Amino acid sequence: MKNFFSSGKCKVLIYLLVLLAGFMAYAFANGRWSAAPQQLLTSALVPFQKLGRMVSTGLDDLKDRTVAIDDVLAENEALKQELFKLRNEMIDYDDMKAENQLYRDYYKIQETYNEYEVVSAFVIGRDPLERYYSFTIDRGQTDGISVDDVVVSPEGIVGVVSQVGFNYAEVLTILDPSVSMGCMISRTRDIGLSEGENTLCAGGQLKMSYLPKETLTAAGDLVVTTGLGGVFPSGLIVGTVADVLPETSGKSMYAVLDSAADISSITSVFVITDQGEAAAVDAPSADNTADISDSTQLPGAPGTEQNETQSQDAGTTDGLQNGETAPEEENKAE
Amino acid sequence: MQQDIHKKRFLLFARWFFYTLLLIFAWVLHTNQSLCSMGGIRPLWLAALCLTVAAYENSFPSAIFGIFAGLLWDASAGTLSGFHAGCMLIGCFLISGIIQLWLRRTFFNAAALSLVWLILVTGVEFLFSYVLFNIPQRGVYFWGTVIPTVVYTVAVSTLLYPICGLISRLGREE
Repeated sequence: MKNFFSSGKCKVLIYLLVLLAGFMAYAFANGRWSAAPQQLLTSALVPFQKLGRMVSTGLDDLKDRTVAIDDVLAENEALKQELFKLRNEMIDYDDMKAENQLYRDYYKIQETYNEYEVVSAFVIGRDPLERYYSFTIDRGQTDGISVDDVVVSPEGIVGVVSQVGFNYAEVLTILDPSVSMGCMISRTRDIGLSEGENTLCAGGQLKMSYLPKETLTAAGDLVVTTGLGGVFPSGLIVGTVADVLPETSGKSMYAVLDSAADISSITSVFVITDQGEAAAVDAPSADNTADISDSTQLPGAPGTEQNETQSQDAGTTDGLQNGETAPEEENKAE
Repeated sequence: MQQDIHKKRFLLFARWFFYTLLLIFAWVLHTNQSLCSMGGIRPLWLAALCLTVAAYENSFPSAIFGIFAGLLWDASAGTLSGFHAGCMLIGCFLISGIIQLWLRRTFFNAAALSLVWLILVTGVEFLFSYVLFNIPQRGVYFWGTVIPTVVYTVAVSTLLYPICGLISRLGREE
């Protein structure tokens, strides 16, 4: 061992250490975290991660069938009762659907994901120390995925692609403080900025700032993206309001949001690879159509001459904020 | 005589082949989100493996092995490429040297050295990622996530220690 420091092997280790420092400097200078050799190594090991995911899924299923069978049966019973309740509510569905269609035509709202090209992906890796639940998926450049593609689940928005390899991609979740989105309270139309918060991320929550001081936002309100900023398309569900609190300055309010998607344990996602014509439109599109029908800010009933005039200007109105109606359009129509 | 040399080389290759298979297995466990999770805490399998291998092998090959494990760790953590590779290079080299020169090769010694080194590495990472940026509630994260992860990592090395011991005997028995 004592002769080791004068041997060639010691020099090799020192050279390797300098090389690794060079990798770090190169990656940092290029604004990335990873260098090409690491990407190649990771790409080669993705099939093993997929195998590991299959094994863990199988073990989870086995656990559900044996250890957690009582919980599964109780959940099944609860779901059956919920299904019965929902079937009864279906009776009012047709009326609401017709009304909703009229409001959709009025605001020119597109159905979620109709114009998007999406790629499905599985979550194949997470680091144990990752605080914001960022993860790796089994799709990459060969599947058409690129950096800044939005990642969603059936429940709502999950995050954005931060790095892409040949057959894998790294996803930053919306709980990460470096990811911010323009959002809107679906009911009150208040607009704010949502981003991760270190004190909230452990509970799957994020913070929506810059709400007006006199906001009418309340717990339970749905939050959707506005599309402003160019990354996140409009109308994606972010989550629901858990609480509304004043900022320390006292000049505005902020809301604590429960993310719609269960980000900490999600196992499959969709990546929007092409937002089509719906990319970053200013007029927000809401998925919860009941919120539109419950809104008090609509300038008039759909189908009237007044409404036809206003619908032409809907794209330039930039949404209705803070309970304000559009008196100028109403006056013009009259 | 030449046959003995060929046999030794073959066994040396086999030893490091099995270590590599273990490394791939550890990589899968390291990144899998549901296996081996206890209350949301998962062990750092890659670090546990390369530090355990360092307890059995010489400094130079241990350090090289540590580089590969560290690169994989960098890939999964999304950290700057080369950071964990450099840390594992130094850590494996030191642990291997200490055990060769001063300490006996026992599980307790290997676990103690691994614990110290992992606290150092995760502490440095915590310092540069959270303390310097004055992230709120960083103490909760350090004591509630980082330290339990390190302890869990050393705990899983109880599984790896005998396996690495078996592999290390390849080519060393007469």
